[in-house]
Amino acid sequence: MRDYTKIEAWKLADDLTVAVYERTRTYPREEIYGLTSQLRRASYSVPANIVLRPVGA
Amino acid sequence: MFTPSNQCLDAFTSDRLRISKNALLYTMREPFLRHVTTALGRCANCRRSARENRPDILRGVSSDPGAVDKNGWLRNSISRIGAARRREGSSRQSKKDYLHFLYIARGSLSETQYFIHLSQRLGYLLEGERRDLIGQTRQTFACLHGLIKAVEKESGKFAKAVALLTSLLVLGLWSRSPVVP
Repeated sequence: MRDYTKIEAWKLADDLTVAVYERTRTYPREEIYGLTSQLRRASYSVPANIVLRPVGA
Repeated sequence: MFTPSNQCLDAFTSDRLRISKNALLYTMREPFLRHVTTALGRCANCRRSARENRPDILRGVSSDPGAVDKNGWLRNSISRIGAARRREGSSRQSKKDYLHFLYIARGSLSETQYFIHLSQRLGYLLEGERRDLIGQTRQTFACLHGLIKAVEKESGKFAKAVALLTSLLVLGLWSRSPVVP
């Protein structure tokens, strides 16, 4: 696996994920399994999918 | 790359969280989860290293992983990702496969944009916060688009070369085959 931390898109997506986690911390309790969870999952899916870089690509 | 100590790993493989050490080691490859995991670790060295690397994640995090992970999100993610990585092995080796995952990333980014918009409509986010987050998603989108185009170009070149070689091979075999009257 190559060093994904050098991919600019990954860096931005990682920062976005952290920002989303910080902002969603203040969301109401009734949204824990709703919007908060959905938003967090969608945001961390972006850097996670960029990381899956095969050898040679 | 930062590697957590055995003491830190033990904290997560304890009875309380029930995560296998193998799954946890695979999880360390996921950058965000790695930071979260090390930030929650019991070992002072790991916590210090995580604090130095990503102070934003440590904010409001208690030293007890069990107390933080009440809903089991971290535990589930770690177990799921660890198991998935082991299953996949080296199956994702081609550029085409990688492109597939980049398209998924782009879809998730669009999804994130909509959820941010919805959060603002529901009053969970202020207009300024929405603008900041949408700005970040747009920047990420542009960068990701560039990455996709670059990989598509590389993948296209390779596909063309394979197509050319295959057609030459077929032509060669065809010209050598005996002519049927």
